[in-house]
Amino acid sequence: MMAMKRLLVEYKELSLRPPAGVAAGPAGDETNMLEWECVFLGPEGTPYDGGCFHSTLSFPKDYPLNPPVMRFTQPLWHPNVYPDGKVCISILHEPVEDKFGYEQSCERWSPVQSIEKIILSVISMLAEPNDESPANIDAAKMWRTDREAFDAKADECVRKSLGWA
Amino acid sequence: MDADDELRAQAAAQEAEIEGIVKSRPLIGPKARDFVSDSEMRQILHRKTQESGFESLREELEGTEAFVRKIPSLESKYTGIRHVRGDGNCFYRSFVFRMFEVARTDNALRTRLLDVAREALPYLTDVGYEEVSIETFTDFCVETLESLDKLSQEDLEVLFGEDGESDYLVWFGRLACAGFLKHQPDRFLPFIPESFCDMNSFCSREVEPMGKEADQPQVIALAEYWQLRVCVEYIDSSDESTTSTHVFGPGDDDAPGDICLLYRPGHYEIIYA
Repeated sequence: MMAMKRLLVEYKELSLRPPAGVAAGPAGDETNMLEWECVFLGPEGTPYDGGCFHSTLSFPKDYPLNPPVMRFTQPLWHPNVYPDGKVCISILHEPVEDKFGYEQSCERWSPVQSIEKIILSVISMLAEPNDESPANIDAAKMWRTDREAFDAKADECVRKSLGWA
Repeated sequence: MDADDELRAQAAAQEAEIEGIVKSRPLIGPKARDFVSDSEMRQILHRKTQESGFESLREELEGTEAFVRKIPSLESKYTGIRHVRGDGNCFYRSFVFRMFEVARTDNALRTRLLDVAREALPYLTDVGYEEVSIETFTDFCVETLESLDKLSQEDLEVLFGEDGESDYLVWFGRLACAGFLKHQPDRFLPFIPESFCDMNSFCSREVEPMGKEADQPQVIALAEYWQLRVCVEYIDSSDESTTSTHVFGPGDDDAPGDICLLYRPGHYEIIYA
């Protein structure tokens, strides 16, 4: 299985040199390499600072020809995260043309990308939401028009992620 | 539903229909004539397809007189055709499959390709690719070449069939192509659309993603990367009664192609001399 081989290589690399504030690896025993867990610490200086956010990465059998699906397992108030937790950033989009030509200029998935690049994209997504093609329209609107309310909602997520709310 | 939504729904339905048609064809069809009568091969390869050959090409092109007119000239030069799925990867899939098919029985060529493939990792990291994201592909290509002489023709066709892992080899074709372009940006930049400011952005948008069709720079790059002579017969709407022939890669003008492909607007297939 080519996907397993590649995922093992990436797992090894991520264990040796993990990106700051992130832990990622297979969710259960290592016989199922297609399901991963990934924990993010909310980056400093962002509304998510101090939070501890759990997510899952589900890889297709033909990874890395196609990208994994990433989903936060608790609510995350963010313009680029669907209310069900699914993360929507360009690097996680399949390589085929978008039906209506959106996101032409963004970097999409191809096998030269990696889990590490996804993680780095998520960290920068937390710091700088992209409100042009939002997954959560209400969050995007609030982020644009009422930053104070947005930060309060984000803080609520931080508290929930720590079991305080 | 407003007019916009309706248009979108129509477009989506049409797209789904086209995708269904594309996927109903095999990734790599049987080679016409040689294999059509072989019942075993039919079992392996004809799960979803009909008989294929110049006859079916004629059927497909029916109605476009300028295209049909050129088929006899093709038949006089070539003995068979192998259809390849039109999913945007057809150039790479045709090239890579035919390369392995020829090298399976040609020891000298296989040795030469192995030398190139074993150098692929440093060649590609040299232009900025990260080892961790490409070594699965370079390894797989080397392993497949190493074991190629132990594969039967059927094994090879199964490998390139629906359930095989051939897309990893097809994508390696894209990677090698992009690597070659990045090694010679000054030579190729004048031939890529002006909307791409540099070779890296061209490759990440047009070459590296699966499903992106190949233009002439990609054909030249892949031919020269593997040092294979590629002969492309163009079937188009010109007034001529013959296809026009374009040859890429090394070799004298009149040398035969290592790989012969048929191109009609938007699609590549394999043809056999």
